[in-house]
Amino acid sequence: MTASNDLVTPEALSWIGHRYPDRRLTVTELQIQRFSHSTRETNPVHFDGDAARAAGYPDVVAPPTFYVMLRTAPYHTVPLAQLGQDGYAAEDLPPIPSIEGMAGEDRVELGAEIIAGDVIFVVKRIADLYGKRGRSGPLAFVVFEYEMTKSSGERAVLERFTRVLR
Amino acid sequence: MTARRRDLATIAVGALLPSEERTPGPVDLFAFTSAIGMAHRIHYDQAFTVGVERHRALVVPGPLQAAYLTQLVRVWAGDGIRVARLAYRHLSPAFVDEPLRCLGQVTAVDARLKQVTCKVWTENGAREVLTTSEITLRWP
Repeated sequence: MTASNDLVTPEALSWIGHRYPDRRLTVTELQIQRFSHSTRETNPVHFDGDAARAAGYPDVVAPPTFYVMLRTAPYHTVPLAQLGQDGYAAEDLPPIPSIEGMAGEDRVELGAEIIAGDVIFVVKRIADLYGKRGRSGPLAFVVFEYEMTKSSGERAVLERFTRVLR
Repeated sequence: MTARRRDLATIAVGALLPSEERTPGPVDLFAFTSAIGMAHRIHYDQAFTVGVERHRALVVPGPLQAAYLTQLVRVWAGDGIRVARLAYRHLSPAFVDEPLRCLGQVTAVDARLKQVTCKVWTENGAREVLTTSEITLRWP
């Protein structure tokens, strides 16, 4: 969809296809354990290497929604002075004169599971950008695509995450 | 070790998953926000969240609800069942210390692909749907 409105100018639309700097992230057992405890996971494969190996994994395995950490942490790991007053990191967004941003839909395809020690290659792009008229005024939808690949070449995650701006 | 999982042949469209209640407290919100590497104050700073952002309390991160819903289906399905696809939307915010009812229902069964799709969602005490999700599981 390429509908424009007051928020979505032709210049903003030209950001469709924009590729952000690629990231290479090392996943650690500690990150997986911290994430798993914080969601009150109980399955031992997400905490203990012996349990993971007994279940057929090479090592501790990340739970299915662990991709959220890989999509969030790199962009929020900045000098604290660069965080907004609300503690949220400034986003590198197309020029959209918005006041606030909200999380829209998150659609994820999961492939090979992420294991402690994996080095994950993350490609982030703007897959789509469009405007709509909401009840309280114009809305802009920025659809980010994250493709996360293991060093084996297997794809772990293909995510389309929409930010809604107004 | 024998894997314990639900027999795909016994799963019918329309089947309800056993529901669960989760009540994330301030420690849950802090631990999750920290584990995913962000410092967004609406998840741990109550004075800011209420006074400046005008929420009634600390906001539960959407992906934390998504994790609860993913756990609901994985526990129901059993050992060794993979999550193949996941999609979720937030309709209304969830707040700290408020019980979330996690509910689910089977919406599709594909015996050939060995996949089951469930609609799963969280509700607050007023039975309002907060986060709704569709999760597809794959049997080995």
